[in-house]
Amino acid sequence: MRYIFLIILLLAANNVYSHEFTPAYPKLVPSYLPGIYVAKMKLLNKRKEIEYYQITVLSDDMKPIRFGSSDEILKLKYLSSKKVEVYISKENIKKARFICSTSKILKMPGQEASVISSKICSRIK
Amino acid sequence: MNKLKIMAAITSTILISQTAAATVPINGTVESKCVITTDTDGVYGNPNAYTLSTNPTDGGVKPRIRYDIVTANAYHATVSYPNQFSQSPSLDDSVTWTGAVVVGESSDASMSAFESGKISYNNTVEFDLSIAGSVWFDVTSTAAYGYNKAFPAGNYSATVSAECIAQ
Repeated sequence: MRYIFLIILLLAANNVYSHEFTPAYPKLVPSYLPGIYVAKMKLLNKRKEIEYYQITVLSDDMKPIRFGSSDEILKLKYLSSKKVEVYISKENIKKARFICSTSKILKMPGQEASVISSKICSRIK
Repeated sequence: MNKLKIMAAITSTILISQTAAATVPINGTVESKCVITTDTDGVYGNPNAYTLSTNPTDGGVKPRIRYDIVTANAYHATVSYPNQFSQSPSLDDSVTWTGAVVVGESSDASMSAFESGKISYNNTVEFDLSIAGSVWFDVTSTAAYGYNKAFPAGNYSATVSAECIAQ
């Protein structure tokens, strides 16, 4: 019954915008570069008002860890998705705990509404 | 001739039964994920010269954020109400910020446990998303300027931060 309720609510919500970042538990596998590991992530932008997302790698205490990616800040059009490869060196693997995507808000003149920033963090397994 | 007819009948029966037994598989994977949806952007109302508030009784609109959780106990949610303006005219006095984050609606009645188990610190509220489904968080934000000092005319905006962290 609760799933029917959920489906009705999802169908009824026609003016909503969302942010998805998967998988929840990415695995680091050796990349083609020696000593460098890679995690493959997928970002989906269903937020009409957001065009840019930032990728970060964080430690257990949410401190930034050095990483490499072709798209550290990426432009993603509304309703489009992108696969993102995150490269982490062998010495940083033990420290790296989260791979996060954060929506970037641009200042817009004349805007009075409070703006919502979204951040989703996947935990490295 | 009769033998041929019998053979043809048997063959066609076998073919029909094979066709009827054919199956079309549908495969799917349910993977753990968190989806953050901005249901309603907030609007500050201006009940008096020195207050900005998202409270509907003050003429504002509360921001509403939906979290969709596919599997239980995989994520926790962190929602922060504003403690500064992201855009405002030049302000020469201090702003006092208050706010709250509460569970507004949920797809499962047992999600009321999110509200009773929430942890608040500074301007941040953490919820343990221990039940799968959808939950809506309502955010209240109020800014008071100086000691009953009038806000300068202009546009004001502030940012609510919604995070979903895998456990």
